[in-house]
Amino acid sequence: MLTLVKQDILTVLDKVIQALRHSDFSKIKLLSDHVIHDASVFQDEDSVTIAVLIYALSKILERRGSIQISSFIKLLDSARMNLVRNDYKRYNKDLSHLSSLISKLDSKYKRYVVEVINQAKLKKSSRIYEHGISLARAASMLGVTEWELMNYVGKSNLNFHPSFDVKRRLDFARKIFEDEK
Amino acid sequence: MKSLIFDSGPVISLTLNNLLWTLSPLKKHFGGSFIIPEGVKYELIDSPLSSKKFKLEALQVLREIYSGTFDLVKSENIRYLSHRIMNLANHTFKAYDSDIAIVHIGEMDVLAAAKILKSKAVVIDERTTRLLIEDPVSIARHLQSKLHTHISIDEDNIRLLKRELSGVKVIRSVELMSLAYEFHILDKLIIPQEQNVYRNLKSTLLDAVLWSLKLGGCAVSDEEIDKLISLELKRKR
Repeated sequence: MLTLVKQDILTVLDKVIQALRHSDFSKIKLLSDHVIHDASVFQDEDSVTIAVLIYALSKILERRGSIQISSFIKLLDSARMNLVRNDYKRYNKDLSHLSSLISKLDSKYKRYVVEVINQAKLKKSSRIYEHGISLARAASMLGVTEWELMNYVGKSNLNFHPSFDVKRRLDFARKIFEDEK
Repeated sequence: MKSLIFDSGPVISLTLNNLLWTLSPLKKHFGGSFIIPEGVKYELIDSPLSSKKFKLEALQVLREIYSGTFDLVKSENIRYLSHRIMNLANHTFKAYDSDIAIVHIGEMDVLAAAKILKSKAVVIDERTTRLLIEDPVSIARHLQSKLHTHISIDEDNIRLLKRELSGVKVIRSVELMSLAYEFHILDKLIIPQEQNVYRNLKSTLLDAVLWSLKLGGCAVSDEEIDKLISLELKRKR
């Protein structure tokens, strides 16, 4: 794992644990954006995984506030400690447990939870696209399809600045339709 | 024969907005080929057919291939050039001393096919690939403002990219649908009686179509949509 990525993940884990202790779920959502900057630059699995998991966790907690958060704190604390010790095997195991814990919350909600994780992937890939990475690249980084992402970014109110005059582009389109060959 | 090369984005937003049918009559007006490269076909058809989501939409695109609206293209030359362009693009911008990979092979297949087939234009709705062709330096400015860190540019690669991509022109689904409006292809969406009940239905139609494409993911600004509508309405007068 890159040193910068590791430092950022540790900072985020610290802050997430604190926010969990204070039941500040909206802060957790914002924290997931911090590591997505790293994901855009380094396109490493570590940044992507932690961003998706933390965002999914924030959504689950936001909607189902009655969940026991102590188990989440315990796992995140363990992940943090293992990362400090450079024990990546155990760190990844902790994250995998965290993912399972989210998925096993309640069988009645399982379908919903899967949806939350997929939504988290879409949200984060649209962020990466917003940063300037192409749509197909952002989709492939998070393992979502271009169909899903295209549909999602359209509704995300992203601001686009034209690089060409729109009249010039329309005139050009007309011209190529009129050209013989 | 003249041709247009399609990226996946415009086909996706046209399909999701029930406008895919407009491409066949548009192609007749164009008088050439509408082409999908192999990498784009994978994203549009093969990938959704192997999952649960967007399977029906993939079948609709597949139908347009078999009915002849789209031609598929696959060649070693295209793949070779698309890898070359991708390598250049993905080693041009750096942050924290690390290359930022900004594009994907499917998108580069579109550009490579356009170069090799000497196509009139590529049809691309997503922003980054369009900027790579029209204003690559602006990608660095954009990355810098979003990532809040210095982005360095490999000027040699920018020069090589400009050379590789010279002559490639871009249009978007919004320009295509503006032409469909001019050619009265979109008139099918309105029946005459409706015009007695609702005023300005024709301009509403164009507004509705362009906004549906923006909400379907086409990188177009609100101002550009307003401008397109005003240009088309002026032309009608």
